[in-house]
Amino acid sequence: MSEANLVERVRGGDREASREFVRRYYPSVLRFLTTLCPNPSDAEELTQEAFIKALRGLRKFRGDSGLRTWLHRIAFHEYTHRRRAERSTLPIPESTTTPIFEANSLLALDLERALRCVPEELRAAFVLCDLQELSMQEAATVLSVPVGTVKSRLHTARKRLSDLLEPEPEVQIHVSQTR
Amino acid sequence: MSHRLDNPSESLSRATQALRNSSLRQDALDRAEDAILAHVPVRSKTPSRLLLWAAGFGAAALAAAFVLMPAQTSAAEMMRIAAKGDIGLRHMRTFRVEPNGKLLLTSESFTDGAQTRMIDAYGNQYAYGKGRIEILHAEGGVTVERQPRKPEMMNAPSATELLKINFGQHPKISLEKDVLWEGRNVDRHTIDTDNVDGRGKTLRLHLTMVSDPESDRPLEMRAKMEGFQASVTRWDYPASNPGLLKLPIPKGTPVFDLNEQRAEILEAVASKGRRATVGGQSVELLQLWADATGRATAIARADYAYPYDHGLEIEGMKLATEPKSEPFSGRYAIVKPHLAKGRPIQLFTVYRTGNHQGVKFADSVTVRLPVFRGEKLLGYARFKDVPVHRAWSVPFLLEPMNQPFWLPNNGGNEGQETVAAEES
Repeated sequence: MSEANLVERVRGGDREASREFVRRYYPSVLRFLTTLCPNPSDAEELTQEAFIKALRGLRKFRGDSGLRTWLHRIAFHEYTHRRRAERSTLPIPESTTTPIFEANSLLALDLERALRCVPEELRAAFVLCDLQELSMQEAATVLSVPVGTVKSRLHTARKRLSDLLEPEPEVQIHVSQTR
Repeated sequence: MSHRLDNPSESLSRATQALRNSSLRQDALDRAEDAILAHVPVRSKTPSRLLLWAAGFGAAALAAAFVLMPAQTSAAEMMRIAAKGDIGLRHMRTFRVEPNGKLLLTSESFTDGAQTRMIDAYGNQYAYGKGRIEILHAEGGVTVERQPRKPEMMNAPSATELLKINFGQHPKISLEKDVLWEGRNVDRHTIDTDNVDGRGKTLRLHLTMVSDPESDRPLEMRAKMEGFQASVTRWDYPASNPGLLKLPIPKGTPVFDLNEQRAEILEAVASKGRRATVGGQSVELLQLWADATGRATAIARADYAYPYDHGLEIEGMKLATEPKSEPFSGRYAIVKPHLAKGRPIQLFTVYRTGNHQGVKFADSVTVRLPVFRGEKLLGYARFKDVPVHRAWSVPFLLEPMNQPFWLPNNGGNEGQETVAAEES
């Protein structure tokens, strides 16, 4: 089903289309908020709130940006609004709950850990552009910043993450044999 | 699409690909689907009350403390009710069944005769009967309006009546007598049927209700419709207590009479307002309404449409939360006027998203309304010293079902048959 067709059917109150809407876009938006929120249950709650708002306000969606961009923007707005309300200054803890995404490789886990070590604004740019594969213009729309800012943050994020992910250089020990 | 501005390390590229491939756990997705769709209105051929009771309410935590009466039902009380033909106070609780089997309370009500007090999953409290509905909103503030005449839903006093009203169209409701349930003998009614939703999809429903055989009072109902979370509804019958039916309204809480306010609006719509002309196009301002979350709407006589992001402006207040785009660029929806009393009336609104509280409007403000001819923005009409009328919620007052209240079947009771106070 095309995006336009899906939107029309959801607007018409089609329950199955609404379900498809959630199945298609929820994982992506949740992944974005999971990298921003301190714990997975907060990310789930905010993503669900974003989707409820999106489905209720779908008549306002005109297709100027893609649906994914629109949804990410709503989700990011929910996140920043909650963050302003809570004013948390705690660093992100290691999650002790069951992960909601099933990583199928250690590399993925390494990157998740590395993401937690970079500032939120760099993390958001990287996740949107490189993980979610939004264009820089779309990421700029989600984050409400200029495209140049996204470009700069993405560059810095990649550099830092690359440094964090590079393996430690091997130390060569030369042992000279005694005669 | 990757952005190869530089050469990200090979480790980063591989790790990114790996993380992109990690999938959301199915139970997390299922949970989310149910939680989200429980909040979303959908059209269905089956009576909406059926879906509502099968699905339960949403996932939001309860915002207010519930007054939970201890269950004082006894066989003696039930017999008294049956013997006197007395309905008595009934206490109803609805739960949603969580995936781990736990019950999450989603609403609670007390009913005596035609009067009911109910608390929903968001902490809003409702009292209806005596010809009016009062709502004590969780955020504070009370709205009152005339009670529309609507068919009895899940609040009938007898199990037989409940099943007949809500499920009477089903061909078979089987009845078993003398079933042992929680240590007592009860009647058990069962429905196993298919329902067809608005898109023609068949949804299986399994429902059981147990009731007291002497008084026919319902005791518990369990419902599971395909695609929805199961729900459990329980009834008990405590001693009569009129205090339970009153809303606990704190002193000083503002009360908004929706019928009075809507009558005021209709009077303004039929009267003359303040007229301005921009570029040969006229607009006539009738009234301005605002609420404490910063939503404001100017009601005006105007026969042109405008895009959402080019709506009302109030000088000295930054109310819009979304950036403007080119008018009629397609990014935002178009707001069209509606007829009221034979004249085109437009609602000029500020486009806001998100939750806001505590926005203060002065008693009078300077208003700017956009003036369009077709898709061309001609300019703004400016009106000074416009009195601000205060609503509890501007959209709830003006467009309770997303369209102006004066249109037929749009949520405002104006023009609908209502319950007379003396009937209840």
